[in-house]
Amino acid sequence: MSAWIRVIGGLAAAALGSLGLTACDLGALGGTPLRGEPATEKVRDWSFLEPRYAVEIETHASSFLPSAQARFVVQDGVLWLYAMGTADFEVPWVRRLRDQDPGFTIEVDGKLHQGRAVWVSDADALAPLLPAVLRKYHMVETSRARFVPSPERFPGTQIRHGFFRVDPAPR
Amino acid sequence: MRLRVVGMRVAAFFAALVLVVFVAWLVGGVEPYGPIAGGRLRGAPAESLPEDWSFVDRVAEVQVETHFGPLPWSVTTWCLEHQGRLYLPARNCRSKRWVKNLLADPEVRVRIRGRVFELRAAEEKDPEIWRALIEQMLIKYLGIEAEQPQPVTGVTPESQGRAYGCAFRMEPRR
Repeated sequence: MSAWIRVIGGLAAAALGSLGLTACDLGALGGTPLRGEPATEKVRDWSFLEPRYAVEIETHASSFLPSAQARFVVQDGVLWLYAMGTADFEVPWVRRLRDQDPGFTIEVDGKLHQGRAVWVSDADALAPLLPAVLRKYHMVETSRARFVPSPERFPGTQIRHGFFRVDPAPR
Repeated sequence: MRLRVVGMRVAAFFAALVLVVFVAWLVGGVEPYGPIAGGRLRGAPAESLPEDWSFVDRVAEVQVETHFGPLPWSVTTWCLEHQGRLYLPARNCRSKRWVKNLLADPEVRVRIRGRVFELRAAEEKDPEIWRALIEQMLIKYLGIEAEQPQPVTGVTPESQGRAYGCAFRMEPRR
């Protein structure tokens, strides 16, 4: 039994070590610190990001894997980070931005921009974002959408949505 | 030189990964966990197929086992029910391994609340059913009500090839 544990432990350590060597990137779950040059100008309109599927961010709150691929939408030039979770699971970067430190870095084409993530949970404020979210991440086209409470027919099956409005980092 | 180092690291990573997966498979099969695929599904075989699958309205996730060559390949996914029939929808359909597996071999095993059903998948193409499934998916999983929702057709630029939803109707095996 102890031999098995040693073998499996060794293999797991080898896998983890290899993962570290490959500049670890586990998508939304986390990755190693971002590399790039500090951006010299603040971005006032993020619309140019719209054709992309996800952006690389790094939270200022400390973490073993501080970066992550984050989903997003742009509405009227404002960047919104978007995450999906369940009752049991929330992606780590969401927890860090909401509960520890809203400061983060976003990497765009090798430039590192500083931002401040503002957690928004007001359903009415988020409703205008939903058509873009549905089109981009759920393959559904609609002109208008809104959040509705969980109906009796589907108890406890809804995912959790997380939205952050990205403001420029304070000086 | 740099390319060679990166190549060696990638090779080391995949070699270690293959070893871990292989050992896990030998030791008794790995179950799917969250977004990570697994192998053979364990569970009590269902003695018969239900006439009405509406009980899955209360089920958030099911596991589906497909075949990736000779290996079992299982994932956790969503489930929908329409007019008593069971459907498994997939986002980013074109890029999902389990969908490709299922299109190559439609015989699947679906585990719902610990019971394993042996079924055959057929892609649903009826637009009316599609619309009903989309409305249900939005409410059941996203908690969103949308005005006249339609499936996105084709591949949108921002999806980078991921787009294209699909749904599979589960039928008894022939």
